[in-house]
Amino acid sequence: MKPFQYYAPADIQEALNLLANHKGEAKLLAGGTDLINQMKRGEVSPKYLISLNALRSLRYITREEGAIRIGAGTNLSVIETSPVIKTLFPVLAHAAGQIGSVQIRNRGTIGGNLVNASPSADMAAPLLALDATAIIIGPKRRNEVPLQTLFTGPGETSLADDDLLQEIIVPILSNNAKAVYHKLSTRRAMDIAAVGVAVCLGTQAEGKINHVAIALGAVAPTPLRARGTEQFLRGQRFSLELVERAASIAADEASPISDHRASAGYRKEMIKVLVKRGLLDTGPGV
Amino acid sequence: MKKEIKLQINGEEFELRVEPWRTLLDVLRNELGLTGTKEGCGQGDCGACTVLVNGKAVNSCLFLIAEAEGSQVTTIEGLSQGQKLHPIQESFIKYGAVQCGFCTPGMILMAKSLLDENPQPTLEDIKKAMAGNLCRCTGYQNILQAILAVSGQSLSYSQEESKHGRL
Repeated sequence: MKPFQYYAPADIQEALNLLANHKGEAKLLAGGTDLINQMKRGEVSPKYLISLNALRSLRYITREEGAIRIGAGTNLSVIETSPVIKTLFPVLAHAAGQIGSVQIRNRGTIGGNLVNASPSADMAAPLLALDATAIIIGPKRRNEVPLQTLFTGPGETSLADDDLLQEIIVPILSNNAKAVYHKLSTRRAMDIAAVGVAVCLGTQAEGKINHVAIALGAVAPTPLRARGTEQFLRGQRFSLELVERAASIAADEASPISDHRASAGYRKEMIKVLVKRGLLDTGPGV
Repeated sequence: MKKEIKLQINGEEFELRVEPWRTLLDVLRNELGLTGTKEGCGQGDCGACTVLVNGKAVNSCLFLIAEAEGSQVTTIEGLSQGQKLHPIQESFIKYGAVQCGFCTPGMILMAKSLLDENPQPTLEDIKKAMAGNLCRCTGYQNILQAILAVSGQSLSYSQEESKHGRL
């Protein structure tokens, strides 16, 4: 690794000041499970490394009226095992537990997983399906934005050089809504999603769909919502035939590439399989 | 530009002056001569470099030494007490869970981390916990058996498993 100056700021304001002072030449270090690898490979060589790991103020899961707030510095292992998360958003605990290994999850953070912005980031699709928002702070700003706006391309975000992702806010689901995440990968652990599908579904009497969100990971330049599929499903009566048609529509909303994990054609087929599976998991039973 | 770092390793206090871009793995092996921790892949995929930091298993190849300031680190050297081996070490020997031994320190520390948190893990719990530790020699069966045995459980094959001859 190329030499760098290391800082361990004591509070967020100090971290922001350091980022601003070293504009463009500094990187924030959270768990490091992505960044340190990138630095070892020489893909990234910041002159200044600002560690967030001492900041208690970024590690929290708090329950509020109508929402959960998760500090961006919260470890994936904490999210995986948090009683609050397991009760209110089991899909997030499940997704966090799909990432890497115990060793990786003990260091990796939810913020890092999102800001690293891999199209296959396992926290992204579930959070998108849950309509999560992100708090971004800078030297003179504090904005709450829809999570989707964070992702601009593979490994690219809308964050400016002096921005910091502070928090993820997840609105509490209504009683009838359930969410699941299915990750397709060659290995059962220590693997990146070849296809990731998150489904959040709520139905009323007679199987009428009153809430639907479907998010796809690893099949486009960014994680994304399958809005066309959602529109097709909204207000319809849940049935196996409806589910199968929706799965096809979802596959067409994606633009997967062929790589060493899977071909584009296979990914399209697997989107159908996983969307169908996710809808059947969350639906009223057919 | 060296940095002063104070940390505790296997119960002993250390004050180091090292470059911040060095990893905990590098410092343990090359600065302190604690070569029990191994470098397998150097990128957090194999688990051979696993150590415990404040009781949590981490890949030391991705852990900058500066991040260890004020922490308690446990390496494989810290497990035995002189001539007396830790029960997990004894079990690995008893069940033939060591062949070349390269993955073993990481395996044992990860197993310790699991058993500290969950003294009665199921086989599935163990497999999930050990997923970040690779072994090229043993085929894992004896390792899983050794860990189960520490918790006082033994491996019993279901009809299905014994039909296929594997776990």
